[in-house]
Amino acid sequence: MKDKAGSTISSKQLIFLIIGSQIGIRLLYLPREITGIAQEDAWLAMLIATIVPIVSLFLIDRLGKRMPEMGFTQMSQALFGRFFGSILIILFIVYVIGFESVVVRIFSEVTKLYLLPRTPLVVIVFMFIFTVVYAGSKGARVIGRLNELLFYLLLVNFLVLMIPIGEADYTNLLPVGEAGWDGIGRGVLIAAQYYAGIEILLVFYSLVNRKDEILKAGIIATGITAVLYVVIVLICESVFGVAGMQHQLFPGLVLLKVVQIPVIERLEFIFLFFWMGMGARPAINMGFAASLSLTQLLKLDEKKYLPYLLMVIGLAMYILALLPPNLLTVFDMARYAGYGFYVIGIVYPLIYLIMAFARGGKVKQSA
Amino acid sequence: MKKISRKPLADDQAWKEAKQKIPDTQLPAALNDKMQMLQPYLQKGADIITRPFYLEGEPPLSAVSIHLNKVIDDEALNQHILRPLMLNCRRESIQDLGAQNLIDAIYKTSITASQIRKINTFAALVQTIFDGFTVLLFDGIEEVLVIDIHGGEFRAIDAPPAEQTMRGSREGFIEILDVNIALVRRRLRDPNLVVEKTLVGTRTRTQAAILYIADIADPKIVSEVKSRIDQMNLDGIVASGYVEQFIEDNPYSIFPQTFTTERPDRMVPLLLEGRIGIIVNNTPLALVVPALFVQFIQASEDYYERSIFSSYIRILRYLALLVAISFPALYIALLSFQPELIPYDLVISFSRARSSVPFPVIVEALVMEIIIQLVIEAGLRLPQQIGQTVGVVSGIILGQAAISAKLASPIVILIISVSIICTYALPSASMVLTTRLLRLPIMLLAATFGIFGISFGWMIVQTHLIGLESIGVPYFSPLAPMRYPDLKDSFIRVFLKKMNRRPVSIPMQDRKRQGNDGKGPEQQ
Amino acid sequence: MLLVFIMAIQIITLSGCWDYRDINSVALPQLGAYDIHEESRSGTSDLPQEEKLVDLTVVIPNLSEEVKAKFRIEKTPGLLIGNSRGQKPYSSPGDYSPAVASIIVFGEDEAATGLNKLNEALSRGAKNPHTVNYSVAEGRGENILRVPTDDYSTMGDYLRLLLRSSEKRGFIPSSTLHQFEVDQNPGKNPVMPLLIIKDEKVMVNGAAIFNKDKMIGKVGLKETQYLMMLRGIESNGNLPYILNKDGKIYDYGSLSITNNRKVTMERNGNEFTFNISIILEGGLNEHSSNVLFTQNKDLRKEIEDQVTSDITEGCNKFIKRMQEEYKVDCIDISKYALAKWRKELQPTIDQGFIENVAIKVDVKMKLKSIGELN
Repeated sequence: MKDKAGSTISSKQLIFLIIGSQIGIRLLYLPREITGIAQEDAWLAMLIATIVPIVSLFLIDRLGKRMPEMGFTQMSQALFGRFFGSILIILFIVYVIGFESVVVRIFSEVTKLYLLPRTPLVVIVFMFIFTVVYAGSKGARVIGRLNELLFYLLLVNFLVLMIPIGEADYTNLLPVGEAGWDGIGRGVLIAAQYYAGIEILLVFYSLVNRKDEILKAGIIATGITAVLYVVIVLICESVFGVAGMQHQLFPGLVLLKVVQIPVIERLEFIFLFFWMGMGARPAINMGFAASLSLTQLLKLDEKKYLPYLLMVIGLAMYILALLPPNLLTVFDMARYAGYGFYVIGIVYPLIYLIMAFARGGKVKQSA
Repeated sequence: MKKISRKPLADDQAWKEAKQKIPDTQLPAALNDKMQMLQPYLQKGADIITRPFYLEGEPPLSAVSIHLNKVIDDEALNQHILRPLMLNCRRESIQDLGAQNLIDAIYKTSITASQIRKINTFAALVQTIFDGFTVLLFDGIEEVLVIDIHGGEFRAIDAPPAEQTMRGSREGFIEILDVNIALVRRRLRDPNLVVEKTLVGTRTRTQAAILYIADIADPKIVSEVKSRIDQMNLDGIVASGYVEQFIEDNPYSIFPQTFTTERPDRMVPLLLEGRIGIIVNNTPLALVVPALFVQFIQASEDYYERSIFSSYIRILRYLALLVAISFPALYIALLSFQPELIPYDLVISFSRARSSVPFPVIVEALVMEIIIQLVIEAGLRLPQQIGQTVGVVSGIILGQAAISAKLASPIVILIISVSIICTYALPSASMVLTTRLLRLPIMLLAATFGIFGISFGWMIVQTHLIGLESIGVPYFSPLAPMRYPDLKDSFIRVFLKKMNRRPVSIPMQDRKRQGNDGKGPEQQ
Repeated sequence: MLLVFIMAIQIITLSGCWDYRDINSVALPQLGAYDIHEESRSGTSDLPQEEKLVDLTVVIPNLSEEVKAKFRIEKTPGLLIGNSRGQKPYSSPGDYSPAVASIIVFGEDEAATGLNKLNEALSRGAKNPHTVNYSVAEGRGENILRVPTDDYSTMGDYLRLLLRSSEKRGFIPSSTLHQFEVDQNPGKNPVMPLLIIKDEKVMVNGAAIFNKDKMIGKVGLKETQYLMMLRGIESNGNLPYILNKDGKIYDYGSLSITNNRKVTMERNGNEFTFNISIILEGGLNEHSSNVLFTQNKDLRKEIEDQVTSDITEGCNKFIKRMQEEYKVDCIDISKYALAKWRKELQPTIDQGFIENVAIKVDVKMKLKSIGELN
């Protein structure tokens, strides 16, 4: 293994890293997407959907336990051979770029809509990508710390989102279970995509300094994410009602506008301060994971070349983020990217595990 | 551990050259020969005083004392060296005792000064003269006596001007290294307190002392600091600020990564937490490394007052930091980008107030900001009385004039003044500078992107802070990485009795600070 | 390095400053009125379909203190609100910033045609707060704006104070954009305060009843009181009472009360029965007779009974009117049925549901305090 001394993260930071990769802009439109399918039972679907990330977590942990010191790239190449391993890694990088460019685009669109209607999208996207590259180039340790700090800062944002609870009407949440297994089931399929981010563990597994705590950390992280998601779904449902919510593109943001508080008048005020952190956080994590895989794939010195490769990945995100013609197309893309999570989060670790079983003891030698 | 990439030195070219100029030979026995050799060095130093005298005896032993004028204590020279040698010296002859025994006899029986040693090479002789020691040369004896009676005129110990407290001690560091070390030692009588002296600056040959507590400080950090100091190869080190710039990890950062203090009672608790102090001669400001961001928001008084008050004041200071950096930016962003985020009445009164000002908000704010920064700078450099006058005059008259000349609205003056006051509410002078500098880019970002720009600016600053390290220690700890036990002494300060363990943010060997894990000894 | 980066970005981006708008060049409308277009005043630019146009009238305070008028009133026609805003540049300088407006007054006729098409522009504009207060004017909304105000700097200031948290001061419903939208969910209908001009002054005179976004009726002040109590909008207000004994008035006075509502429901096949219990709590403000409460223990009870019967009667009358005349649920009880049988009821809840349910009102009055006098 290469020098990892300067780039390990603690298992506590892993919790925040996973949360940070999961929760982003999607928090603001997820209630609409899920209530559109599961109606009043969206929160139930959200809760049941935790099964998917937990399964993913178990698979990755199993896989990691077999080869604890190997990075994602080495693992792939050891299991599938140089050529097929590289293809798998490239697919992963493409997935990350696709997924995060959608996130960056949606965030830039919201920024444009709410804050800077006349500023060209090019500039706003550039600001996001700049932040991603700047933070990502500082290495795994700094990213671990950044996620830790941002989690607490963004908790403020989350609390702000909870203030409109005074406008809530509990009858909007009732009755429970009327969507039926069909509705909830389809809701779960969509809801599970919002836990995408757990797959970052594929890359970060070898960087965590205490491997025995990874499973626990992952479960805690998924639990916290699930609680935050369920709370935001419940608040949106009870404040807007399911029918009313379908008119809002970003019900999470409209929540901020329905109440008036003394002195500073508008809640957005507090919310916007952490806007950048909220928007860039998942992209920083995933972008770093992708560029780390790329450096390992190209067998380059991590310290020296990672920032440059991150720039390349950032540039790819930048171009891809600007490609879709409008926000509605981006939402469609987001849905496809969400299905990509099933591939990377469940199928990847599964075939890796099967391969590892098939190869048995031979893996270590070929590594 | 991160190292600054500089040329490896210790005994490298520059040093060698400096040494080569002085031939490193054994001293001759005869006084005249010695004086002959010294002549080139003495003749161009008008402040070097050579005082020939005889030691009484048969035959009288001729001797010379050489010292720098006003660097030594004249009284001590007369009372403890010259007088005993000239009047009370025993009259044994060289022949009787032999050169070696004679010099031992002289300094053991005649000289009453306490710090004394012998040297016998020419290079060392020259250096010691210029280092400010008094040297005694005797005829017929190769060895030379070096006596340390540093003294002369220097500033008395005074209250530290930049770090005044209500309840702390009134003693501040002064320019003399030995006094400063004594000030620390008087407060910290632990035998484990290590004081290591070294010379920095190839030409200035400035003394510097490294202080740490041997069984607390992390040896890795100690050796890292030492090696960074050894690597310094500048010809002149005239203040601790020079050393600071050489040992910090990230010289391009605008955040101070070395803690400076002029209070010995601020330094001692830091040493007790496993930090390392560096005191440089001729500077009343000591350095303490590794430094954390939170340290710059803390003042020594926080620990003297009761914890509720200090916690309150600390939270206020964090607020002040936020306000100082982003208040003008916020004004610009809200007024020019998001007026709908402020209450309607406020928007109307803001825009009424500046309806007669012909400039955009950003220009107005920038002009006032720069004027006030210049006023501060002018006030700092001027003599105290004039400085105060300048401050008052510019504060009142300039502000009023700017408003009536319709160059600025009253609100912008209010906003800039509040942010300046908040800047100076921070206890650390280096953090004040950072804040003053940081305000400007955030203002510009706000003028370009509104609140989004401020958010962007803060995100970048935050990432930068998290990435910084001070001697390999995460600078933004205990906030990121989050060290939960250390939060007791960051935003708030808990009751001293509850701080049983030393902060984990600073690597150290011994975590236990007091008591039996949670209970004070008297609380059994 | 950081600084260099920031400076670099600055240099690249300062050339833009796309969204920078100097506050003094921004027109800050304080309140707006939305009306059906008046034929007499035709548009300033070629607008299609004259008969569908709306008028947007706004009050914009003058920022400079050197001019005499404190504000100006601007009126522009347009196809919808956004289009009317688009006409502003022709007649008024300043960058029009609708997001700061805090009051909207709808004309009565306009409200009857449906407000969602006008609400759109405010709701879609991302910067607008959803706390902007809505109200309906008797007649044209712009007339309200044109009422001269000497005691307040602008009509906007006056209306803002009048309408914001009006339910805290009397039985006046207050409606915001958010409430207007949420109240159009299945089984719900909005209400708005009704403004009239009386003696050159603007005042609240009851409430406007809506069927979804269309105004279908107005109710007077007394009925608004029952509407508020039935709807369960918690408010503070003043209630008079008159005690009769043997056909003779022997005591009268007023109470200040707060109201609260609890709804239970039963279902029997397709028969729905709602029980609304209204809980009134309050204190005595004044009464005319000098009967001492300590001596006449029954007085307190009598006042409570009188108020209870008054309110019960009024509420029942209102419910009857609602079921027969308006045929919409403006007392917000259908949601309790939806909470139990949403899937089944949701498609038909807004058509013929409220007319065919039994609604029982049970009023409980508690006179908690009698003040300092006995």
